[in-house]
Amino acid sequence: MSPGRSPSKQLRRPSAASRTARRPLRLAAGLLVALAAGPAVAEIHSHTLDNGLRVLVREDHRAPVVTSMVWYRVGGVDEHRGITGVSHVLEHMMFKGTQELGPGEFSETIARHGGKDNAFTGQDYTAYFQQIAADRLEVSFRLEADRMANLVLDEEEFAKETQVVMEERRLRVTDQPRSRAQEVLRSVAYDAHGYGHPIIGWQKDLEDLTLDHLQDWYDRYYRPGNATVVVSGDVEPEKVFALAEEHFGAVAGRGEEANEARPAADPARGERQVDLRARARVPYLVAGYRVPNVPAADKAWEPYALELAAGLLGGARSARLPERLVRAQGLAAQVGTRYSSLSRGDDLFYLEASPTPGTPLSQLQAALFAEVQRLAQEAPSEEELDRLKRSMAADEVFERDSVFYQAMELGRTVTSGYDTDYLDNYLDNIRAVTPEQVRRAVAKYLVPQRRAVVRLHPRADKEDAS
Amino acid sequence: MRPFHLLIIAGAALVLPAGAPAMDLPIRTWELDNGARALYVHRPQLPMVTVQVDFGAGSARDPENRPGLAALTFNLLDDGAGDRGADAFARALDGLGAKLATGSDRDRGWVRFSLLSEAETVRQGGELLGEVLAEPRFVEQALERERRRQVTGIRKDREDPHQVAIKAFYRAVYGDHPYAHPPEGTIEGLRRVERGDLKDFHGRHFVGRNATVAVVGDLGAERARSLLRRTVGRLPAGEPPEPLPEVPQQESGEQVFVERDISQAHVLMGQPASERGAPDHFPLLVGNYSLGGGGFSSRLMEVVREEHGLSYSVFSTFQPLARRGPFLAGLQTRGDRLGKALGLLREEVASFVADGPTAKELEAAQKYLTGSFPLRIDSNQKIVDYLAMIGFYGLETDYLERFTGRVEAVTRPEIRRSMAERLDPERMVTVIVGGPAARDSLDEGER
Repeated sequence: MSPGRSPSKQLRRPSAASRTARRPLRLAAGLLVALAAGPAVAEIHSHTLDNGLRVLVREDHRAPVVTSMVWYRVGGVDEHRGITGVSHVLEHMMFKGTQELGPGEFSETIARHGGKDNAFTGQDYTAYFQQIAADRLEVSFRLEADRMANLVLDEEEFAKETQVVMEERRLRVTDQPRSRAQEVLRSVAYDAHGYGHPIIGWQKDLEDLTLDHLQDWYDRYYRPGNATVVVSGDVEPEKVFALAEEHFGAVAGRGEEANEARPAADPARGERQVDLRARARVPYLVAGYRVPNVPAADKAWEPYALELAAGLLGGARSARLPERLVRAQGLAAQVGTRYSSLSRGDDLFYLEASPTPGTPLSQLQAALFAEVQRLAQEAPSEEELDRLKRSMAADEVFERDSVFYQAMELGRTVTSGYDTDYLDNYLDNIRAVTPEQVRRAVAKYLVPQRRAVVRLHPRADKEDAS
Repeated sequence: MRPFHLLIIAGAALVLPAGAPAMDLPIRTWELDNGARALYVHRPQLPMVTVQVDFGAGSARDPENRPGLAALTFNLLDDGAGDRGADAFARALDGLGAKLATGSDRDRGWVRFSLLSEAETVRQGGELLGEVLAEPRFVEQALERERRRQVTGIRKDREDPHQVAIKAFYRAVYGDHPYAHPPEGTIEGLRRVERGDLKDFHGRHFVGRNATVAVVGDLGAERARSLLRRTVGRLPAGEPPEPLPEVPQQESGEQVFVERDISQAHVLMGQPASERGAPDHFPLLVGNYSLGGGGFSSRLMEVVREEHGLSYSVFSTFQPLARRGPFLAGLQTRGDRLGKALGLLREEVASFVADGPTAKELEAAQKYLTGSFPLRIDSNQKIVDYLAMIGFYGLETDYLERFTGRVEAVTRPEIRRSMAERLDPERMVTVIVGGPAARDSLDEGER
């Protein structure tokens, strides 16, 4: 699990490995203090079709390419025991044929036009994307409109693809002790709420999933009124809108309303702690506090204060946890935080850490929570907070280097149920948070009774030490 | 060197319509006084600059009894430099909004630095970068701390079947060659490292004649030259390192089974194959797309995943290095299906090496690789990656300009010839990490 804006999600096709920084890179965007930078947020152009489909465009003319995405507001949060994993399996099945195309022809067509394509499922959404030459956008729209309206679900393809998804689950979770710990964490942090289930689904639910479940899910959620098309890159908004009208306009509305469900979780009532013994070689600890997102907060500034708290604790190399737990006290080998105010439901504020050799996990845990407590009792200095805001501001510029990321951020914002002004106002909202507000948010929300903790312990194994 | 322009070449064989937009990517190169080679692209649209410095100081340069020294050196570079301790350095970086990352692999170690292009930021950032390159402190306490982290990382890798497989693969394939051990090293090796080792390593390898630097972003040529003089230019000229030994030919095939209590079996199969700058780079690139590099367009995906549902991820890849880097094909599948999956993998690789792609497959590969080319260079970060690679491996600076043309020129006989020269399925190493069900499945034979 890496700190970052995106929640854990499943990719349809494993992405190519990339060289990564030794320390996990940073968190969400922030205030732009340096005047040299241009507008912090590239302008967002919006248009809605009669059938309810919204189309968003961000221009970036540095290269003759686009990222074209279709986002559906459905994900793990909409699922329940018995059908967990259905959103993700449906994502896989979306590549298996329509009335027009046979299985695999979607990707084959995109590749022929020099495009890459993939998809992913998150807790709040399912999204499909192509990265392709700007002058091939039409191909992307034509194919996406086709599978939005005309997906064909085939029993034989489904049987095979469920096997593939089970292999994915084995690869990502079953044989990875830390992923397993994170899965356990979510299941104890929530009672019946969708966030408590893994996006990839529980193994038993995957075995029991039927084609009818998928058809029902598709009919219910894959509608223009519950979808957003996002395009970033070397395009002109008006032309994109015209192209969208041409290809998506004909897709029947089937009820224009978007999925407005924001399933409420049972309030967090009392700390939960789990000791998990598994095939780990290094102890590991992950904790999650049940905290509100933007719509659910008592005060509008609270989620932004929490984002800053996550940054102060673990969002940069000069953050408190690396400085104190790693460098000064030598208790942690790795430590990080993660929180996003952008979600459909009340998500978790995460802390994770692994100890240095010889440090008991209990000692690391105590030190970790002591740092949270410190921030609850004493507001950060203006200097410390300002340094974080400057670091976040620079991130905003670096993020604009990625055409893909520009579309990703936009799609995620809107599909989580926020309007685009969340992005426009984000910097101002972050800038406006005072040190005292950070302290108050931490004191109110990062408390034991909202907390779940999983401690992963290596178990004695017959495997040799090599 | 004169700048040049990169054009997407429209031709009858390509899908791109006439009038496909051209993309200017003029690359300027020069040599610093200390012999370091610089590659630069001016890209002012975003107010940011990215600099990457690469040194011929990867794990292949680890002293024989200190595997992991290179990685540890690079991990420690930003843990205090110049007059600043780790905390002060961290605050200075974050205060500027600058991002510093270091890393290493078998061939090289790098420092990557991104910052906003505003003048004062660049001035201060340059100071920090210069300190990291020329004056790392390698404080004893930091060494202890980083050593423990790196050791913890090695232990953690043992939880990950893929890491177990990769490490076993390289050991089996490279034997005594410096490429055999993992870049992060071994626990025993790291425990032997002393501060003097770090200083020696730094002194020997962080020299101009062992350095290339890539700069991309909102910095005019003069400012770029000035920045590099103040940073990379601080290093002594030094000597380039000795060339690495050749990788010996694989004598025979081998199968290695590593038992772990996991539900899947992980397979990695391959052999040393190609080096950077090889003349058959493009036939191998294009050929591999059809075999297992092209995702859902590849034979391996088609057969192992789409047709049989056996694996989520199945692939093949060439990973060229300064000396022959490996060809790798792999998959993961439920333990009891190992026999079947491995059989299919071997069959597909062997038949591809023997016969190469069909005409239709070749056409699809060429369409994809030429059509998707703009995606390779659509961000400052990606351009830095390419410049660093071109510079470090001494590729022709027109590598990007000629890319699509060279893809288009590849023929089926060329692919067959290159594959046959580079690959011999009989002499490949197969590493399997799996549990008892996987072992049983293997013993039953491949059906």
